[in-house]
Amino acid sequence: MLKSSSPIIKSSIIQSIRGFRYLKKELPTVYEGLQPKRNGKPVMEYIHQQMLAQHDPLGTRTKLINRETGLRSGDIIKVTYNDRTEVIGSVLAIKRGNLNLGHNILIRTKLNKVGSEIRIPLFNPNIRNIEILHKPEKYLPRHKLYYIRGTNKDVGDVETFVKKLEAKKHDKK
Amino acid sequence: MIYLKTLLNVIDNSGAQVVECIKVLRHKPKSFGKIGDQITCVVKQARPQLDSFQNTQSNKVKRRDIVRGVIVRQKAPFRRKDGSVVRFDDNAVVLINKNGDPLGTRISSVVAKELKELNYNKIVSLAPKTF
Amino acid sequence: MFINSINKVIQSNRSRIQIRNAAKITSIHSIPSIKTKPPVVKHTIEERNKRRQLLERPGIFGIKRGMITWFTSEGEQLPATVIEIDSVEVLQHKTEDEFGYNSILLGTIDRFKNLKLGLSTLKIFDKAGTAPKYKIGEFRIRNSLESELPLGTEIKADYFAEGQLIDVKGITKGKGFAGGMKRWGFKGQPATHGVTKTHRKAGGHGGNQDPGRIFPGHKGEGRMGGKNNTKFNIEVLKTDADAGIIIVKGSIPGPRKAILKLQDSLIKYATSKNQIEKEAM
Repeated sequence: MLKSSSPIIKSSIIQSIRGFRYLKKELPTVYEGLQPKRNGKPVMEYIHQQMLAQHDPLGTRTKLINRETGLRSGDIIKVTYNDRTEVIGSVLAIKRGNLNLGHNILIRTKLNKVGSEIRIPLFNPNIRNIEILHKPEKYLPRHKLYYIRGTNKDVGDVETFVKKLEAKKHDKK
Repeated sequence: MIYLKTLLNVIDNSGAQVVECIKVLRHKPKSFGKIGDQITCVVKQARPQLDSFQNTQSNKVKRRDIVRGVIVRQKAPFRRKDGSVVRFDDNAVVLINKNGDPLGTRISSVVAKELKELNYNKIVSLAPKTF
Repeated sequence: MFINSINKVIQSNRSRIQIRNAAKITSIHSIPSIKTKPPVVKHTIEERNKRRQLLERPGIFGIKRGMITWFTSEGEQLPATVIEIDSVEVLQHKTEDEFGYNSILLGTIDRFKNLKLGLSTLKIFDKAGTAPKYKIGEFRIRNSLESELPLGTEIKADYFAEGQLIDVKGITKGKGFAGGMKRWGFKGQPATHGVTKTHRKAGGHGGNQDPGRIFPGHKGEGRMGGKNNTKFNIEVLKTDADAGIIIVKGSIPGPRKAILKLQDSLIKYATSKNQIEKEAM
């Protein structure tokens, strides 16, 4: 009966089945997502702010390495540690980190005519204070002064230089 | 980084001025010596010896002697645990005997702080400064 | 097995034999027969599962965000990596009765657009009552944790304790087609002394007329990186549950934004069911 019948009937049967299947298909429900953490703030910025609040609550160290108002290579600084030991030297280079506490300062002096350098991490909790002792009137070119090592522009004994400066100030007063 | 054939300054009054490293002790053949390591070395340049009749002070070592020493300064930067990195302008050594005591009685310039942790207290106390 | 048991019996009787006359040795036929145990087939799936070194609880997903400098309270400076834990939720439990092993299905990162998932996976989120996830993964465990971690619970960053050791799995950075010097640390050739045009080549591979080829797996040039890598026993420095942040000591395989698997240290905490049985005995 079906075979002899026209193809219209066949297609109608298929259509009915398709329609039937389509109606019965249950689509799953989609739930809402969780609330965004840190008010949608990027992770690295959030962590950097927390670390700054922990290691530099007053903001003195971040002021020191400000590109416009802070340190410049050629200045003389004194670093005092928590166990009262001191290091005095002139700044050769400042390395800055991006969204981390990886900043450090390279300072150089001559102790008993031997050039000695130390690269000091800025935010180390062992450091008590960093003080600027002297700023020269005229700076040498470049921000990284590696080229002065062993030339006539090299730093001298920085400690005696600072003592002489202080003595001069006292005399003026 | 002190290997075979490295020339080092001597900073005590034992009489030697420049020594050449011939062996870094207690190290693998290809690894280098650093601050606090003991080396054996040959005296390449020594202070001229004075007549013993005229002057009582005499040099303890002379040229071509084989001596032992401790590295006290190095040119290659090295890292401390607090994150600071230190380097000096030259490689320097203090001559010692087999017990670890210095041969000379005076040290002329700075030494590294690490020597104190390695129990070279005599060298540290003789030195004018530590860095 | 059987011969050994006979020897034992004879040894135990030897003292008696010496007292009596040597002629009156007990015959082998008088010894009673001994029952042996059937051998255990060790290469079945159930026995394999008992032998397997597994953890008590599942690991979680994390996202690598970058590296920072970390200072300890004693003033030591360390390199550290920041990992984000972003909406990790339990999706499904696979139990031993149903699947033949115990595991937990976890998902991370809620996403509603550009999801390349089928309808069957979407139904899993529907059952668990969570949003669709960008990344789904399975973590095998020793016993099922259906009561402890019900469907849809969020696992936060304080899942791991500070000072704990963990393993981190990731996919290393792809380096493309690399030469022998970069990939395996070959020496290369000297720069001078009459050497021309060969300075960074791998050199001879060791082939001959027989077998006329190089055996597969020989070290040489090829694709480098982009492979699974695990870093074992890394220390957790800090966890922040509300912000969803874990900081671990040192470096981790993979680029930034890569999805990682963090779990308790296998070497320290993993045990098999057989080991637990032995300890109980």
